[in-house]
Amino acid sequence: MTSFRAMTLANFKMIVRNRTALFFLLGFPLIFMLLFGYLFGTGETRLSIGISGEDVSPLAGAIADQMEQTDGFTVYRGDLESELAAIEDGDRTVVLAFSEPDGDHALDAQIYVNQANPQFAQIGLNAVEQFLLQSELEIAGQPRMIQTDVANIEGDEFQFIDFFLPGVIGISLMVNGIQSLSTTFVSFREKGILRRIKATPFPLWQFILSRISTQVVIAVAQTVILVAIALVLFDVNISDSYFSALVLVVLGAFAFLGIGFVISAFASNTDVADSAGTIITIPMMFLSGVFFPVDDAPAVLQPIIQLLPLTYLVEGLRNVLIDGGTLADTWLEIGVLALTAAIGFLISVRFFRWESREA
Amino acid sequence: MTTQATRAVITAEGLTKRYGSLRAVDDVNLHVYESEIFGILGPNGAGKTTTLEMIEGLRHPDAGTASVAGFDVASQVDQVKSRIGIQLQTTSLFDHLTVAELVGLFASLYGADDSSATVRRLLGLVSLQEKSDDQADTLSGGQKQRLSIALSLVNDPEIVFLDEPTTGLDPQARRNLWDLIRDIRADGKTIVLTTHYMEEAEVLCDRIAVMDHGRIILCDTPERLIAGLNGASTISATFGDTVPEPAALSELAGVQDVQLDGSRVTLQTDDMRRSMAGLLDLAEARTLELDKLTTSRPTLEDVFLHYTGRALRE
Ligand SMILES: Nc1ncnc2c1ncn2[C@@H]1O[C@H](COP(=O)(O)OP(=O)(O)OP(=O)(O)O)[C@@H](O)[C@H]1O
Ligand SMILES: [Mg+2]
Repeated sequence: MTSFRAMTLANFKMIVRNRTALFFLLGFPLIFMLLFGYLFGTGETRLSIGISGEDVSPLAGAIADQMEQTDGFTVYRGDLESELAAIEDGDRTVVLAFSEPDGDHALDAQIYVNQANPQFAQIGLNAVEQFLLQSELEIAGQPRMIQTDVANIEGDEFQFIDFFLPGVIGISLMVNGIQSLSTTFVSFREKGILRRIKATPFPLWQFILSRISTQVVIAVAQTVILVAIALVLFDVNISDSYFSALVLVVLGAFAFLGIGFVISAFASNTDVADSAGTIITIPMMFLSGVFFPVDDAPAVLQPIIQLLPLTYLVEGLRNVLIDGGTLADTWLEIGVLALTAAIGFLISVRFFRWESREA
Repeated sequence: MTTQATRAVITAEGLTKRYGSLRAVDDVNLHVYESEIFGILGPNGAGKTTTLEMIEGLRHPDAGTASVAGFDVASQVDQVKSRIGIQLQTTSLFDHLTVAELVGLFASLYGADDSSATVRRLLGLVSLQEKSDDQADTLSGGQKQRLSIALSLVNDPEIVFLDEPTTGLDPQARRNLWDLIRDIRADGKTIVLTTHYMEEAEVLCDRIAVMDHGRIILCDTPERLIAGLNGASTISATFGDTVPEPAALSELAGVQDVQLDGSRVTLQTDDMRRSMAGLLDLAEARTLELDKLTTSRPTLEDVFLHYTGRALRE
């Protein structure tokens, strides 16, 4: 067997046979998902508004922009077809479709309302209509500019799990990449295993690449398992953008491994690595829109939130896995994750140490 | 016992390593010849491990050069690594892998034959066949020691470095390990080992470098080191009621020095056979009770004591 394959195979064996590691890789996110999945069940938690046709007139565009900035609305933009598909799936409460006016109005707006949860649908409809009335006055300066029409849709119920699954995947990739990589790697150094590897002709970069490959495969496996369980137990509504999701998962894994390697480079022992990992992962878990939309977080926290890689991974995954977005829709997320990974690896290569003390 | 070819497979010149103000290794020069068992003997902190690891390419010397199997350690470390086998003084190995898996893995890392037949042969060599499917972290200290020796052999190295291979072993296990080391040498390999057991250095090594405070103070065969002391042997006798007077004892053939301690007499002699005969004759002639009689020849311990003024191990 080639050295690389042998090392990678050994890495897998070590992880699979390590009960504690397995718990953190699978048990922990699973418990999370079950707990919150059953706790919040299929309850509605937000008004998600889909908007299409905002480019038919400046007024439509202005309304869409303003809606996006309004607290309480989570706005998605897309073409009519994909937004209607989303409302069918239960991912939208209301879809607002603008079109060219066919009378003497400035704008036509068709409002689709998901009747899966009638009470909530009513709240959503009222909110949107109220908003339109106000916009006419504020933006256009006169009433009755917009001709509205309402249609009911019997879509799926919105489920909390649809919102939560990408977050759980994000958390498990984060724990895998940051905690388990750094504690394992630092313990290798602490115990002198890295020195023993250094004594062989097996190159360091291959050793590290082998570890990375293992962890990335584990990350993909975690994702597959979590998605499968969410499908079986909660009937989660996922899109078929599997490839895009895979790209995000791999990049996310790389980003967190980069952070994990940085911790490994600086932590003097396993305990330090573990604490550093916890200090980084726990706040990130609560700030990155895993449990609630980041838009709902207080404005003071936004600058921090927008710095966290998990925010981008979760956002990107939600976009492709749940909302059926494409990679092009997530270029920002992809860019941030790739950048995080690159910075992480550069720093850790620069500060890499074979041994706990000076050689 | 001494199969000394003249080809030096290891040459170290002026090796020096400083840690802060401490000169852990100070201007060490040595040559190790093909197929010999070369021992580095010294107390804790003497610099044995540091010396060894600079030769292995694991630590960078502050000054000096080393070449191994014809390759310069500083500039051709890859060639060196693939030709040597290493047992580190302290290694712990990957958890959750079995003994056989570890041997196979390390064989692969060296790009060597990792077939199960080879793994079995290596484990047989260190008598660990029965443990091959056990997790390595369940092995006893001595078994781990043997496993790490097996790992040092996976690449069929020309030179094997063993850093305190017998520390922590019971006497029987230590003797078995000596046999194993001799077998490895019989295979045509050169062995460099460190130890702080002088009897081990004496019976196992063809040549010994005695190290103290980072310097090699002596380097030769054990026999010549001991002979070089011109050291007297010691006779120690415990008498019953009556102890002969010192004057009578110091007249015995070969005796150089006499010490009396209660009923115990210690004689230094440069002619063990005649002094012994004289002492027994004396006891016979005066019908003295002899409760206890022991003799000892000088050892490496005495060599160390003589050159450093300290015992090797306190
Ligand atoms: N990485 C290091 N950093 C600082 N000091 C060191 C380091 N390695 C060794 N030393 C010091 O250098 C000296 C020589 O150490 P070394 O390990 O070579 O001794 P040794 O002869 O192998 O001892 P032992 O018999 O205990 O294994 C010691 O005083 C030790 O404290
Ligand atoms: Mg040592």
